Amino acid sequence: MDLSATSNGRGLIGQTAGRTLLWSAAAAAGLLYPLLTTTAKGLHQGVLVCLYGIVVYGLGFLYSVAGQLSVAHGALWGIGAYVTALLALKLGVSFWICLPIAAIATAAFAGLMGYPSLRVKGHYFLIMTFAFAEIARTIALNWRDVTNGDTGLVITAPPDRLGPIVLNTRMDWYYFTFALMIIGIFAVALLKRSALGKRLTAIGENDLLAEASGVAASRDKVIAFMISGVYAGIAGTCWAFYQHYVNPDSLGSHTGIEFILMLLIGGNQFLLGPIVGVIVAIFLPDVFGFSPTQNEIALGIALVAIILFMPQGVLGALRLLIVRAGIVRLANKVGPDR
Amino acid sequence: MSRVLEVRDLKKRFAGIAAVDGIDLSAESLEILAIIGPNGSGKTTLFNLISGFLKPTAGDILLNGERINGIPPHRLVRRGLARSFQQAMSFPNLSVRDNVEVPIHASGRRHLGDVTRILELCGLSEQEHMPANTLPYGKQRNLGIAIAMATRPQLLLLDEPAAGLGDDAARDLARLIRSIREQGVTLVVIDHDMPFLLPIADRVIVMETGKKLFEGTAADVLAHERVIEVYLGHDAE
Amino acid sequence: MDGWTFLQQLFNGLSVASIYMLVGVGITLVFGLTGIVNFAHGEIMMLGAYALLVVAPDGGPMFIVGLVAAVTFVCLVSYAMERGLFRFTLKRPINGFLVSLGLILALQNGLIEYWGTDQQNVVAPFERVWQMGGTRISAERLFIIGITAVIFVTFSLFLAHTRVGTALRASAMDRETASLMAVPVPRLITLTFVIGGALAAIGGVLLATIYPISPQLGSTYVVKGFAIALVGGLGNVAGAMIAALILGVTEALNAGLGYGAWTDAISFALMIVILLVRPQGLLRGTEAQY
Repeated sequence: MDLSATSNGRGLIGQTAGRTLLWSAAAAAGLLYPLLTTTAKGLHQGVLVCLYGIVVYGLGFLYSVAGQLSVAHGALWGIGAYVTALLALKLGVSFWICLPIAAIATAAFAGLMGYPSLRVKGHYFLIMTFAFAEIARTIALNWRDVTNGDTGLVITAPPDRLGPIVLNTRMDWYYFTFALMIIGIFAVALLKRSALGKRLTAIGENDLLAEASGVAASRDKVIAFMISGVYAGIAGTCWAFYQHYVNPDSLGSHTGIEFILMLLIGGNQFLLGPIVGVIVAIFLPDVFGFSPTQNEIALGIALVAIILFMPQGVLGALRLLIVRAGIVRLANKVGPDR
Repeated sequence: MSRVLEVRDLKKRFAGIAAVDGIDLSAESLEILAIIGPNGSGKTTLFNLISGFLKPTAGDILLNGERINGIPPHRLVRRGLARSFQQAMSFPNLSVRDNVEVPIHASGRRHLGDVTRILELCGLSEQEHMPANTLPYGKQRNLGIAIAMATRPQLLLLDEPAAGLGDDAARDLARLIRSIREQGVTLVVIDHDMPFLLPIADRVIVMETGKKLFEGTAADVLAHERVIEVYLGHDAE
Repeated sequence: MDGWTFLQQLFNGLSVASIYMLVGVGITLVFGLTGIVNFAHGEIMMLGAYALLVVAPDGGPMFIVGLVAAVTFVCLVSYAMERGLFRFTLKRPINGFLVSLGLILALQNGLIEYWGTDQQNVVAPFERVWQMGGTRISAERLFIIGITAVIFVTFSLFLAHTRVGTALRASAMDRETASLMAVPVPRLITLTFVIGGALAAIGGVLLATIYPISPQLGSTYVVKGFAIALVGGLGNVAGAMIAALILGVTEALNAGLGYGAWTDAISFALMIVILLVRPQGLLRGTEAQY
């Protein structure tokens, strides 16, 4: 199945064969990773890559079809995590039931956040998502009765079995989240080729014309936002059970900014873009020996640099190099460059 | 003959200025109605009002006898009202085929077979897989019309379709408009280009400063003194 | 809430509103003129606050030195930011927004790296408190209200009576006009960034004298600053000032009613509601570029 539909971008390398090879290699690397890494920390980082990857693919979907960015995805991740934690702690709900419920809850909140995009666009929408992120963080911080404020919530028990699926060890979690991410990537590709995906692409190209062609632009944009929010919510649910700990930090705008950064570092027009961005963000401190704070500073500078010098992301710059070196010929491009 | 479109005493004010100041008009089924007038006469505002992109300050717009004031454009499409745009008339990075398929994705119809027919009608069969922004100007115009046709309209509003076209292209366009009428579509066309528009129009409405100045057949219009004055008094577009 | 508490909250509200005004006016000018959403404006403000912490943490007459140092430092930073970064994003303001997000990460964590996330305190230059019935009037807050009033009277005169000021005011309210004015637009933009930075720095300094500061405060103030700018009408300085007053007093009254911890959330929610009901702001300003 050719995952890059005509109306969205070319791969890093032009030809289909080369692309399929690349994706297969990436998938293989992903599957073999736990066997290659020697430390628990390495495996933990692998899980993080998968979880953040899910969120960023969701965000990338929104960006590529609707041209909208959102700073609120950290809050949506956090909402998924808190809903899950509360369900598990207060009602003893199983992890597997938490997943769909948190997905619905996140979709609802995303719909609530997305609704203003009916009335406002562009900059206003971004400001709103920033405000929502901070509102969510404030609520989590102050609603002590429910959220336990600053202290956060702790889930001690691991998820129960679901048939053959057991989530006790880190490796279990790695393969589970890796599978989820792969499913998520396929889902995004399918969505882009669906009628909804094509309508959203049209909206991104020319929203007035789309409206005049019968596309309910506002409604579709909210749907896109809800879908991208569900990705974040599901990742947050896994996070709650994996990390056993949920606190207000991830709900604020910072997390949202980091997700945007991860999306833009890799370059969203490539299928592997989000993954590359996430990997860079997570492994950067190891490469340079940064403390978490120093890492944030580096990421901030990286974001500025990417915007000003490499708007196509790392993979875009790479492709430019490959083309210039004459290694591979570029296929004809048909499709928006986002 | 039934009235597909009816506009009654339509008004639109922007910060104290009346862009449309009490217009009455109607379009009969399967006719080609031309609306002409100098820049600033309110033609485009009228179009935006009828097609749902602007809300009227006063007055009524009726489609097949039903009031459509305030209904958003995408829902008007479902009722059979479509329009083209004068500028930015396509989805630039999508192929011609993808462009024309957009209304079909919007309508939930499964069959995309119409697309080939529409491309043929609008003379775009050869360019089917080219990105819209690589097309020459005239073809882009046709693409805009093709997209509107893909909504299967009953009433089609064309906004200055001949703008920037040479004589040959304008003639082809006139032919296209006639073919569209043969498909069972009522057309309302606004334009500056009188030699292009008058020969194909069944009726003509002349607008000036938001009001209807005159209404009649093409011959009536040409003979009317005030109309000539209004046109000679302004720069030709 | 009895009369004295009401007066207390009103007074406190005015002092907080003053700080909001300083932040919001800078934002509305920059946003109105360039269309750039500079979320790093909150960090700029905190740079001013921390500059005071470095230079004059113990109050007294050193405060003047601290204030001048903070403003100078932040003006330089703003100038560098505009010339070095934002200048390249004028064609696509969304990139300016993204750049500002990166700046938030870099600047805020820069502060955390040095000072950690704990709160820091600065001793205010004025420590007297007068009791008026049930109301405590602190000299520091009075000072804040006073100095802000002086600043804005001066600024309003500047906007109304100087050539540059008139150009600035007109251009911020109507971007199209900017290119028609005799003053070159790029210089106007740089000036706007610097003025915005100066005002924010003063806001940060004054903030530090009445509340403990921490690096994360920037995010809260910038959202409120944008709320003020949007509600007051983009580029509309008078509008921003009025909106700031409304916000500051409402928050204080809110706190007086016992909802202190929720003030932020309520303010944000209020902003969202206003944007939904009247996206162009309560007063006229530049039509937002969609």
